[in-house]
Amino acid sequence: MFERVDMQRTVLFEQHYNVDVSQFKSTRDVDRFLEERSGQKLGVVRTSGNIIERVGNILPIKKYDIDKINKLIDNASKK
Amino acid sequence: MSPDYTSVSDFVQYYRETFVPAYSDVTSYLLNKPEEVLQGMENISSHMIQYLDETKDTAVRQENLKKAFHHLERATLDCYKILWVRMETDLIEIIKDSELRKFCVNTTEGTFLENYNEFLNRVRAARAYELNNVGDEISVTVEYYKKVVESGNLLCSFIDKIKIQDYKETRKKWLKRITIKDILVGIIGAIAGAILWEIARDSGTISAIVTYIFQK
Repeated sequence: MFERVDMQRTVLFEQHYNVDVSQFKSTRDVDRFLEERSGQKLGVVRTSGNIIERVGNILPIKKYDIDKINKLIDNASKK
Repeated sequence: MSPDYTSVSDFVQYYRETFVPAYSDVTSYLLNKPEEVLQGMENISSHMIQYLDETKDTAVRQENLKKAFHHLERATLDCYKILWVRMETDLIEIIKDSELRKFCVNTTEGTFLENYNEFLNRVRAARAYELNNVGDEISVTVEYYKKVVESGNLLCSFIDKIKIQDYKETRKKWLKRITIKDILVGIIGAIAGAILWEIARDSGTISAIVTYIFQK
């Protein structure tokens, strides 16, 4: 039986920043808040290109597009 | 309950209560805005402009609102899928390295692997549901992927990034030390070999050995 999920709560954002997401009315509010907290302008992660490093993360991060992501999910499902 | 795709208030409610939380999660994890999601938002605004255009027929405007709603749902789904793949990228490095798995997670290796299997099982279930319900409303699929991300978040919370950093630095240091030691041993060995060879040749030992072998 599929257990329903509370879609109004975030998985990590609220816990990490100790905020209430219902106070954020748009993506612009979220962007502004994150820019203020991280002290840097948020960039755009392109869907193709080279490997990039996320600021503050010690593990390398790759760029993907959604088709590639679906393929990765399918590959992981076969494991 | 399925939303009414032709209702503006349902659209706004979905945006605020479902999309914004998903967007906050992915953006805070990446500290960047994912391009796929921004493209979805661009599609939403172009359909919304058509909807707001009063010179258009009501049917056309309603159809555009519906399309904008579907783009919004897909953008929400993309947020969780991107999060999944980023988490998987972070986690696989730990999973593949037995030392990282043993020493750099704040739980037992068994619990960590058990949770990783759960993470994979959930993505399998999500993908299976998604493929079996292509064309239907995707709200439930979004929920499935959110559950995947929840288990990924639990796994990520076990990872001790400071320990990983320390471990990587120590490993680099040891590798450097071993390499330098090996090079020095090699050079000393070669010099000692050359000296011994010269001594043996000068003292006539080599020619005595060669003569002895051929006489036999």
